[in-house]
Amino acid sequence: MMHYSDEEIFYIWLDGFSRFTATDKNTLLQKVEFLSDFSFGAEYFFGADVTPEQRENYADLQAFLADEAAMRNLPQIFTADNVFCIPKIHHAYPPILRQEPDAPLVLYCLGNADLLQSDKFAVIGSRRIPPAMEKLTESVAYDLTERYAVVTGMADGGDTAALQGAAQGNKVICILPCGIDTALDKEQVQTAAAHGLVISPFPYGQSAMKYCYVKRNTVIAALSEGILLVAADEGSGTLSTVREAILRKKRLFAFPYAPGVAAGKACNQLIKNGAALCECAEDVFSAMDAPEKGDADFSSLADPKSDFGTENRKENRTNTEILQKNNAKDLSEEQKTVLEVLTTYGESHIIEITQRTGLNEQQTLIALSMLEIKQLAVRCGGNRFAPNVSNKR
Amino acid sequence: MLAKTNSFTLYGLEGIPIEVETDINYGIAAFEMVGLADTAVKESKERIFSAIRNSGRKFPDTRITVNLAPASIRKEGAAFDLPIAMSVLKASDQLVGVDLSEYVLLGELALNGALRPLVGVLPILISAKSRGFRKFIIPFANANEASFIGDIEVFPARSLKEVIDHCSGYAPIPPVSVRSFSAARESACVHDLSYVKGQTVAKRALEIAVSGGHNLLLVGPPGAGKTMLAKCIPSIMPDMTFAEALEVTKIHSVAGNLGKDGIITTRPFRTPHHSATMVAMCGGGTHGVKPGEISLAHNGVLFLDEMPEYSRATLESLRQPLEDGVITVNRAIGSITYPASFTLCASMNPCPCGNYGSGERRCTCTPAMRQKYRARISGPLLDRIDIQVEVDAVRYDDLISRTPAESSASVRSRVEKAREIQRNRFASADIYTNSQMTEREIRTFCPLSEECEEILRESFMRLHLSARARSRIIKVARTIADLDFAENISPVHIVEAISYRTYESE
Repeated sequence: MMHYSDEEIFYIWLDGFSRFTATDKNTLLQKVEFLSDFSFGAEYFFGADVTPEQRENYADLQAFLADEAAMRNLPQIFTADNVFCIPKIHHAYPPILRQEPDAPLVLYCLGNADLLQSDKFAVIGSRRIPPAMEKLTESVAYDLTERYAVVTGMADGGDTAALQGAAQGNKVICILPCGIDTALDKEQVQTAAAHGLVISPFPYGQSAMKYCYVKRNTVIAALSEGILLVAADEGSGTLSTVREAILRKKRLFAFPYAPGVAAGKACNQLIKNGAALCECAEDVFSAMDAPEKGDADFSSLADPKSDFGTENRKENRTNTEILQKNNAKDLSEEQKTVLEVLTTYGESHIIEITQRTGLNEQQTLIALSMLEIKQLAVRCGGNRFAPNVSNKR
Repeated sequence: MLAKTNSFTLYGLEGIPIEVETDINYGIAAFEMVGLADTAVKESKERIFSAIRNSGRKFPDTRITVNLAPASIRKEGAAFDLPIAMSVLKASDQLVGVDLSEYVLLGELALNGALRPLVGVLPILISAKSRGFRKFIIPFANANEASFIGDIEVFPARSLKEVIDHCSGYAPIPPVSVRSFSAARESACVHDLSYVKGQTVAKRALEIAVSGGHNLLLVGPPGAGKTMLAKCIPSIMPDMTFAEALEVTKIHSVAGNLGKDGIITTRPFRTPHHSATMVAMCGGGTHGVKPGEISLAHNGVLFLDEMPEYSRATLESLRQPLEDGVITVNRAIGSITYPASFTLCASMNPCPCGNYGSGERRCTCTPAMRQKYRARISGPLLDRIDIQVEVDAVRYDDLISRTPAESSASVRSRVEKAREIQRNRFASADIYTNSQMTEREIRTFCPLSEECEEILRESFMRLHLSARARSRIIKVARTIADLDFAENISPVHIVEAISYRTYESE
């Protein structure tokens, strides 16, 4: 159980006191040095032109601080739910977030608080994501937990995939766009809390309004050292996180998509503008280790002997290769043929696969089902299949 | 004077013997009818009065009491017109020396004395035969219905006068000659699989479903051809055996929608609209308990187009009959069990916009929307659907291709062979198809090799299939093996069966 100082309780109370506007709260916090300052009149904080409303709210504040029982009882609401509050003045509050101009007054947390101290990396994506990329997200998020705590939201699709992957590494930080008590998917919150940390930058009772998502995205961008965009169409809300990250000069990564795939347009756009292309966690690790490049230097690749760096970066092989090597021995000839066609052409319809392999439809279907059971292929709906490029199985 | 004739009434699919007793006494002219008769039976007095007079006989102008026994059973319909009229004539000494005790009389009278056809004659004849009755007089229009039952004499009469002349021996009616049953070779189905372009996966699934009587769900975008595929089902359905045909005909006879043939020779294919109520689906109604769509689809196919549009209650009511093959309808007038062993074929879109999984068109639905749409079909119901297959939009090249697809006739010949194997397998049990196997039969007929068990175990882990799906996968695998003429289920069969259950695992 967490013990709060009087000052911390004051922060928690102030955060939950919705009648004060954000500006008023800031004014108060800028001028106050000790809690005893609140024995002064409202004019001390708000100047001579204090409004009756401000005066009334200030009176409430004084009353709260005077009432010792109320102060002691306030944290009990949270302890009952196992939620612990980290006010801005608390030592555990991430310093990088504290620098933000409108940093949340209090972080309401559920789960493993130690994760706040670890390095953080965001994996985000819009709700519409192709099934194969979903699997890839899950495995990359899991691999990232080797070095980072993975920060993500709780939306369907990309976020959920990242959450599930990182939860398996017990290092997921999930940021809610609403109060912890008002989260819609309670089960998901519990999962995330059991395998990591759930943070809400909003007080209890706050429902998920549109502006909350923007604020949530800001928190994700501010907390993380880098961001991996797994799926987003043009105009997707997820891009607000990316924008915030660009403003804060965070490192950007994106999954590559085939041209014309709507769910990946923004990802490709990001890569065109200089974000790093990411196919596996190793891509992130090596890029984060290397100093940020200015202009790209391709001179080394001009050498005819160059293998485009693939040999030197053994660890960085795409998972498809690893996967093919590891599993080829268990596969029948037909399955091997089908897998080869899948990895060569990417997502295809079963008829296309049939034509390319020269097998009949029934053989293809059986081979594909077997590959699916062995987690080497993914069903994308409409009898379309894609190779499973994630290395988790 | 007192007279007695025999007749039958229907309770569900079972005929119950009714004795019609008529007593004529001196007194003021009156016609009293007792014995729990409903309105149609009570009204018969007027029809009988006119019919007797118009047949050249005299309607007694004294006190007439008619009793329908046993009194505790509710009597419905107009089938008692003939037995009452004959007993009135007998009681009024107009049929001297005529013995009616051997006959079962059934028929509705017209005012001119003609006999009108009835519903439910076939089940009555079958029940009466088992109770030892051998001679029947029925309306001429029902003659065909009766012609498939041997060992009885059925005299089809056109009018009351013919009945009187037959019974008095003046002009005996020739009995209906027994016809042997032959399933309709020429299917009335105008759809043919050769017109369906592409869709090889779906066609294969259709073949398996029909061969083993498995339930089938077609998932696909609008315009992909789900309905067209489903409408081809009758064209590949195997012929009915006589026993099956008799079961089907009994139900349709009670429902009153038998054709001229008198027997149903093709498997029923019912397509109730999605506005159908639970009563329409399961049976019931205001006038007696009529069989519902699922009973009318007995031994055939029930096709539910756009399944999520049906009301939840209607869909859930299918769960128990899908397992048991019968439905028991309970109403104030009694509880009646109808057979309802049908193959369910349903179609639906993959998501609200319909484009999920389409290569060309863009799906605008979020995973949550898709989930919500799918949730309209409950897990337990989806679990009872053995084969779930995705039908995808046909590509234009396929559409205009001249290469003829395989015709229904050749698919049907394979289906017939698979059914033959199943019939031999289940010769001792009272089931016909693999889909009807219970746990005990699965253990006997579907031994699995180590390798198969291993694949099953792995697929359950990987694809998150429900535990209940196991036996259904094995049943489908059995059918696939039958289509392969394989004695034992091999891993390829299991894997193919699993590939048809992936929709629910997503």
